[in-house]
Amino acid sequence: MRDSKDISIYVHIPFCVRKCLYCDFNSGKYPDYIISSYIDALLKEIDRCREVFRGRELASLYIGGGTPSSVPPSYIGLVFDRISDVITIEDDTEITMEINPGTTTDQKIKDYVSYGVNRISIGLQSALNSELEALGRIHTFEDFLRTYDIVREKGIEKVNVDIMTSIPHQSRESLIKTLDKVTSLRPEHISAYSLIIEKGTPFYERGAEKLGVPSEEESFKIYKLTQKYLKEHGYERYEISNYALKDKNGSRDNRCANNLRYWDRKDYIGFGASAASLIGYRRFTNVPELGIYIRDPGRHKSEDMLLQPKDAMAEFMFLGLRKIEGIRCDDFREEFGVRIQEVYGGIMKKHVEAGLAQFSGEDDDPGQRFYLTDRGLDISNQIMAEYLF
Amino acid sequence: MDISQDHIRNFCIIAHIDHGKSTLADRILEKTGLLTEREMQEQVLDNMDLERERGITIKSQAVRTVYTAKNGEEYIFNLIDTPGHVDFNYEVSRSLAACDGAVLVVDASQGVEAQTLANVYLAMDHDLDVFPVLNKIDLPSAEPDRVAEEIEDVIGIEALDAPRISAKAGIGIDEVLESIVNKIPAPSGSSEEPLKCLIFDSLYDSYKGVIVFMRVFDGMVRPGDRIRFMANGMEEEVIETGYFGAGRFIPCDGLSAGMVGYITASIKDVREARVGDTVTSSANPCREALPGYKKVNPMVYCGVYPADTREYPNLRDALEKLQLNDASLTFEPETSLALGFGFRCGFLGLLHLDIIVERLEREYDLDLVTTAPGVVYRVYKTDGEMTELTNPSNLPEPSEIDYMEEPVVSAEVMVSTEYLGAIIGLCQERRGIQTGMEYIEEKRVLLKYDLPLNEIIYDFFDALKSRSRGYASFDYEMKGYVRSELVKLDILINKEYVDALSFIVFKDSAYDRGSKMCQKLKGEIPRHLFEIPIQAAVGGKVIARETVKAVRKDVLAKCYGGDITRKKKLLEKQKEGKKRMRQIGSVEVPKEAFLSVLKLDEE
Repeated sequence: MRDSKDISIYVHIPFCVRKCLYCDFNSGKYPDYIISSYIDALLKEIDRCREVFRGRELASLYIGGGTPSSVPPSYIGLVFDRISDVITIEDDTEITMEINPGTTTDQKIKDYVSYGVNRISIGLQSALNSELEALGRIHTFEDFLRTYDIVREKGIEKVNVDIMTSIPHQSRESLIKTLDKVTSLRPEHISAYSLIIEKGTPFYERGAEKLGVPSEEESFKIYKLTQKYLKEHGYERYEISNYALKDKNGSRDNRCANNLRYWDRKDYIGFGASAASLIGYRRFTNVPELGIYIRDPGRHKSEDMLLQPKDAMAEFMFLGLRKIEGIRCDDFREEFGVRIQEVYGGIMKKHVEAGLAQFSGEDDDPGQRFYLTDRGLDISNQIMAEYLF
Repeated sequence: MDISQDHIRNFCIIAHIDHGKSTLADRILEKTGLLTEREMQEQVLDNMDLERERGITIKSQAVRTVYTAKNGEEYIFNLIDTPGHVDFNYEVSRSLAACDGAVLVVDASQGVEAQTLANVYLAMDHDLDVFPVLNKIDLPSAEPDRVAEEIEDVIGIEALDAPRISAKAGIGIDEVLESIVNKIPAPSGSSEEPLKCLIFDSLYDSYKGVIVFMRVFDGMVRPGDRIRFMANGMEEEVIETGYFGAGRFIPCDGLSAGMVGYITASIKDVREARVGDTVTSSANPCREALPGYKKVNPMVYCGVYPADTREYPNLRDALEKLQLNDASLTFEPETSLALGFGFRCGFLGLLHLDIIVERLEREYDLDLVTTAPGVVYRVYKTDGEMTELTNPSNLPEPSEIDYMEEPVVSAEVMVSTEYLGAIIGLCQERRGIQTGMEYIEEKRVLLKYDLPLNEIIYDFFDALKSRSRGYASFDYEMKGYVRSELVKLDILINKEYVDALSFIVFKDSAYDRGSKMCQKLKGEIPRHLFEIPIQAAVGGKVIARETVKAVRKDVLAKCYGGDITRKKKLLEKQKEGKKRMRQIGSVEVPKEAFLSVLKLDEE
């Protein structure tokens, strides 16, 4: 049965200094009065959800965006205060904050640490200023280095750096420069996403060809190179796009606890416009429109559904298989009361025979896992689609 | 309203496409006062959406209006609409059979075109009195004097006193109406004779059942009469008689000699009242049937399959209903390894095919897959037997074939001298043999060519238009069969032979068409987990190849802050796309791939 004691919190800060050219997230530049009323709304929504937290423990907390570091730190402080009102924040709870190198100061980081932030995720994307400019980022690589130093200086022991691949005019050579510079700093975690040109963004309008994004062939090589390089430099890939620095004595887990909970379908609640939640078998998402959200925080949902067993089974597969270690077959039986083989045996067999997936251990082994091979991970969308009903 | 036979005028309007036939029809209806302007749709006769969109008229329809002439007397006008496209000569023919005269519309800026000629000759074959009207005189480029002379020279009918009008601007319409009264003869025939009616169209209505459109030549028919369909001897009781208001059916007491109208009877099977059949009275039958129409043979065949195999019975029903209104459509069941159960359908031409497929999809809500259209080939076998081949898959083994013949048409192209070279080039590329060339006037030439039908069914019209910037017109008729070097081009997807993609092609064009086909398919077949070779082969020998590369990467990187639904939707879309595909071996082929072969020459 599903664990219902732990819960994670995600807080969405949809504000930026300027929107990047590829970004299709719910974010943008807004006047101060909207930012302050949004923060008020967040506080109100957290308050309204007081009941949800009764008898629960906070597993992780994540402040994302947008650019959370673009708003006055005192606002973030207010959010923390309100969360502590509704649930206890333990010292060892993973508390992540996303920051943008163009918006951070010594004082801000100091403040974040004082609120309890113990993990910082820095959106770098590339170590080449020409590539940063092409993406429409507001910062340089030097800004990032300064930020990174401050973060370390203030005692943050877990740092993530976001990098992006297949960006306009990127080559394998330029990617290696980025990887060199980033890994030499030894951040505990690296997220490597490949650029996806989404509808409604300036990049989409301009079109892949004009942008000069690497060819499909080159893109694939870049993607493979990233994996190989990070592995050789001590980073273990634990999810399609996420890598954790292996701890020398193996005592510390550098993976992102918060994101793992998404893939493991553990309970989480999202606060703010367009924030998504999963509580038990209920999935719901706040409306993306700031105005509607602010007027009656958390009341209006763009989606609110009770997952039926088939929905949940499909999620179990397509989320679980994002992890390199895959899924534990017994977890499926424990949650759904039926052996995974009975539901997905045929498809799993087909994928194993095609060299796209593998089992570890014997069928009767309670620890038996099912996971995608390298080839399977490369084309995971096609595989995961087959686990939908 | 009791009107004597000599106050009835049954006529049609004939014209080259775009010369303004429908607009003139609208004006006539407007002027005869049957409709107020408010009631008028832009084009009353073209009431099918499809016709409106394509700007052409497909199904013949009739309308009855009342005209008060300058002599103060009322006349009944039965205007019978005819389709304008060369593919629909058969339908033109059956409309003409119901008329006593025709108004010929000629664009005063364009002059006589190939279809003007074809339609006039067809009307004359039916003994119709034809009088010309010069349209679009308001255009700056109009040359009514020159065109009038051209009509007299080329067609040989009097045109110098032809009404000079603009249907669009409403100029000269009264003159046309008076000419209809004066120049088109009243119907002959007698109401005292035994009943003799010609079915010129029919329509299935979900409320009234089969509605039979007819022209009464002799006798009288009233509700309650027992009638006989002479082709099959079936007898029925007439339930309703009536005539055609604008877009609606208006019941009346009966139809007498010379009248055009409709009857309904409890006709159960849509195939029982065939267009072209003669209807007579059971009690007092006429001695012999009207000649009916010349049976027209389909010229183009293709396989039509439901995208969802469960829709097969619905497809059959829909084809049966369409056939009732369109005797030129033929179909018989066939089976394809790739596509399952479907029908081999015969059409008058590619446009006819297009329209039928669109009607099936639109009016009957079917999702269809069609195979490459082909013509009827004659295969002479070594054992002396001859078979007509409509489905390339049925071609006998090469060792059993002595030789083959393909259909050839004699075509006439009217072109301005400026584009003569380009059009001659086109005809030669299409294996045409020039049979004549005449200067109609100093700047216009009538080119005559014998062309293999399979060279014109695909995109000849489009090529003609683009190479002449629209200044060429084209008409053709079947000439016969000639011996030809033909081969069957097969397509293999991932080494699997796909029967639905085979077609017959002239030997020397095989390589070119094969490569184009492979390139097209390459663009249509989505990437799979493995590499897919696409090959074109003739007699087992591969002559062209393309490769659909394997998918190397297909991952969803971002995690969208726990927004799982967004991820799921993307995966669902991926899965949904697969459902619409046909499985050929281990390859999933989208419906579009089968259609793409229709558009081989588009770039």
